[in-house]
Amino acid sequence: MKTMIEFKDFSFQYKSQKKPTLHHINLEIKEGEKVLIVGPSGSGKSTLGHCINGLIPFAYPGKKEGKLFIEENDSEKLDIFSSSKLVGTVMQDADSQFVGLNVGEDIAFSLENNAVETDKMHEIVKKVANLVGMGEFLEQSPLELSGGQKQDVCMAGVMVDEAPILLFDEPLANLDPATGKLVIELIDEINKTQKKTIIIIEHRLEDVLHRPVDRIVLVNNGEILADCKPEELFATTLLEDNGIRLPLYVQAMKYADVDLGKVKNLADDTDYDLQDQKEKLVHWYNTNKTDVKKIESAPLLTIKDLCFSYDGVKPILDHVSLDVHQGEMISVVGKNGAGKSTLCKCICAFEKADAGTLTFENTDMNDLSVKERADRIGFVLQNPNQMICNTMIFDEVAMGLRNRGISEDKIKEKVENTLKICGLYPFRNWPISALSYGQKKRVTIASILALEPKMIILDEPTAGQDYRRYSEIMEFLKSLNEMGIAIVMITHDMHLMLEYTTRSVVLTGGKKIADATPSEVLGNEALIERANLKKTSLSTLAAKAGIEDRIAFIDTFIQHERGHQI
Amino acid sequence: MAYGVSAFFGCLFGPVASCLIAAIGHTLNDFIFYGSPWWSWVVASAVSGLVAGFAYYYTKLDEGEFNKKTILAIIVINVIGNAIAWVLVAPCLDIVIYAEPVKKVFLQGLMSFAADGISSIVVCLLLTAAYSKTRTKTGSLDQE
Amino acid sequence: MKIKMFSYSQLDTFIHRLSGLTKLISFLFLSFAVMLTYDYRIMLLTLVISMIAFKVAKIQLKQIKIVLLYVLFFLVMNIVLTYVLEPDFGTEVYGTRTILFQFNSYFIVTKETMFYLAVKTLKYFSMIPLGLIFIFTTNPSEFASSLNHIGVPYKVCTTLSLTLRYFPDIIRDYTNISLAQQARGIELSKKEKFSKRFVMTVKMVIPLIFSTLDRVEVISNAMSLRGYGKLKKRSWYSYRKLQASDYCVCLLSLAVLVLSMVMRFYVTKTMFYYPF
Repeated sequence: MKTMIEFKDFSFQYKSQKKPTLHHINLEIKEGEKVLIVGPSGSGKSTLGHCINGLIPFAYPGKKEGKLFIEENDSEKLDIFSSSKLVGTVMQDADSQFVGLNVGEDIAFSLENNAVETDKMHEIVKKVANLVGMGEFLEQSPLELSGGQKQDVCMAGVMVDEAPILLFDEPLANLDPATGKLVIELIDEINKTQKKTIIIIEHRLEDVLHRPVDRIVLVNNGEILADCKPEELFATTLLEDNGIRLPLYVQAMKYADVDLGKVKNLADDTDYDLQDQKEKLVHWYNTNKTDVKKIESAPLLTIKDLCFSYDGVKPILDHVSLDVHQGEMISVVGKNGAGKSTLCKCICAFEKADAGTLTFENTDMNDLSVKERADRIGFVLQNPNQMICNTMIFDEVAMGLRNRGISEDKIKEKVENTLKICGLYPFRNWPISALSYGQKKRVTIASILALEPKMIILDEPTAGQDYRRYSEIMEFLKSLNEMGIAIVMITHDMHLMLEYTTRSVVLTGGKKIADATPSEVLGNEALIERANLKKTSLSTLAAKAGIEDRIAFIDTFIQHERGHQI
Repeated sequence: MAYGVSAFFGCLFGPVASCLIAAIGHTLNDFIFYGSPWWSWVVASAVSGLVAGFAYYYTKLDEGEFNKKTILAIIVINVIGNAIAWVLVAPCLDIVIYAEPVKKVFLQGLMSFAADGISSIVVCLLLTAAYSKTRTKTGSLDQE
Repeated sequence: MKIKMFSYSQLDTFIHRLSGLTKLISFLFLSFAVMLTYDYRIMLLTLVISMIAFKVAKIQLKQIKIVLLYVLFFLVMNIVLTYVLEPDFGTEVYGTRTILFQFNSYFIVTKETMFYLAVKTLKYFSMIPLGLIFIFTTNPSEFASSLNHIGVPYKVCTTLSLTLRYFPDIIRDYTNISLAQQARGIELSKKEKFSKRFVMTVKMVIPLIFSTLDRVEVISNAMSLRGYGKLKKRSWYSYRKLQASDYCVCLLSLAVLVLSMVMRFYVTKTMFYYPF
């Protein structure tokens, strides 16, 4: 078989950095393979991707050593255009990759650049759009598409080039769980039917493994630490050691001391066979089973019959009622466009609700301004770049305090504390632009935390974060929560919802359809289907082990995991 | 305000970019607010953008340089650019194309020169100052 | 900012079916025909043509209400300014002076100036509908491809279509940013001093510009990865081949332009036609 990508003792150093980002990489990818590259943030996995698709050195100059061959061509001799004929790239941010004013135009973009005749272009676009299931939507504008559909269009736009290699750079980052599943299925189909070589860069291991991959390449600190089949990698502790989260069912097996070697088809999350290892799981469950105690406290925020609509016709929020109690940690879940963000914006007066009442600690909030509400409830936006308006980290975190007229000494103390908790202290004198996306996110959380509100709403707090940072942020939020601050999170992350929140509010089409413990929500298959959530692999595991009470099994796992972390 | 932004992009990407931004911005703005572009002023905007973009050659914003020379270059270039655009190009084209009264167009030109000139310099300077702070010099980053 | 950018509405009328190129060319021809003359007959002709086109394209009055208000405001300003600065401008262009009455020796009201101002008003009103019809009936991406076809470099055209593509996103970003900053205590109401408010406003533009710059970086990478800028020319997905009706419309608008020029240079031999 042909070797599609070959790194030979390859090193790379960005122009603006003191040290190399990649060290002596040796990696070979064969034709038709499907390879997953995992690694924590800053491990060099994205840099590896940029080297493959030619953005290095085209957009990001630096110093290269060693050799890199793309389909047997020396990368030194390829410019970005010839690289793009070999490697098609689907980026993390589907919105930014969507350059056309409608679906057809976007898919055609590459053909347009190659001056393909208009008639022929329409033919190809139609064919490719059908491949990704977007054939009916050629006239739609990007504003009318869901995140998953945009991702599909981007894929189609790359496929018209007929490049033999497809590179996916964190394709799941902005998708809800069910949509992510569909994207992974689509990638798998392309791999099988089109015989493309597929490279996926992701840290959400469990979600990618929804469909099998041939190999996993583990990258950290610019080096390749492992390059093997998923099963072999699970058997080691390399993933955990490098901040990559194991699929939950594998983690549960590890807790229960299951001999992973004896589980058949371990890497397939629905088709594995526990064989004689069942007893170990049941035994572990019975010895670790704990009851979760419910906390009752006074309501902090009471929402009654909240309604909102942009155009007065289509309701975005439809009579939503909700209580947030003191010291609670709540997740708001549901598919993209279900009204999650709008609900939070209405709470903070970013949008004006059409009807309904908001009461905070017995005071009516309906007439309070954005600023007045912000003294009680902090809101952290999803995109950190939209919140940051200072150039230095310290000033950014201090800004809210300064606007409230607190003395500089006090500010310094508070800011430094917050920075330490957020793990940003070593960077305090850096310009914000030098930080990674994830680090910027932490800066914005820090800037709200510094104001010490009684309740914080976070829109996707951990989107795009690797497991280590995710745990750090969540542990940090948990510690705040333990200090009595109520925390409400909009999330697509089922792990987060299970692990950290005590209650889940499920929205669909602007209506609240459930308000229960996360394990109850994820144990209910009808609900999962309706709200575009994803069944946790733990409930499959419980079923396979013959454990009746799946919800209790999930709870047991979470309790155990918490005990494990501390 | 808008002229300051296009001037800022000029400092970053050069005259062609800022000329385009100013011209397209003005045309679209006219389309939205008046239904039809007032071509003479679109050309004037493009000229002001073009001239402002020459600041690109006198500044090194990409490398985080922001000093007296940068400020001076931006002020001088923007004054020249706005003067040519509003006191010369816009009124002359108004007379040639639209045959507008001479006194009126020059008065309008002078008013625009004052308003756009000042706002574009102030906004452009604030933005470049902020931008230069975010740039990092080659190989300068290390954790403390 | 509730004004919808390029309120293109997908209808199936004769005007909508025309190619974007035709509409662009006709728009340019007709607006130049009006622009380069002060002959009210040409203006009336264009006005009638655009009124018919308005009806055919099924444009509702409420869609253009805001634009009309802006134009009216601008027009009144312009007329007042012209009159205050040059009350006797009519004499300058028409060569005669028929004083109707006068306030004092400077502010005289002449028949010529009044006629000039009336024609000027007509000029605005015959020009505005052309642009409106164009933006209401042209698919924005077709607009870009049409520009390329009349010889504008394709990089300019794609820049334009990208502006249109990302404009709603940027407006949404700005709203979010401004609210997030208000939540952190930035005061933008009149309570604050002007200088401080100005600095604060600029400060809010900073995240917008930087998030836009980030976006520009990602987008330009995405575009290069898809071969943008590789060749000297480029084809367009949204380009529509010209039909017979396209040629007819182009010819009609060209005829108006030629008529206007002929009237100006050969018949009336002046830019300012004065019937009295």
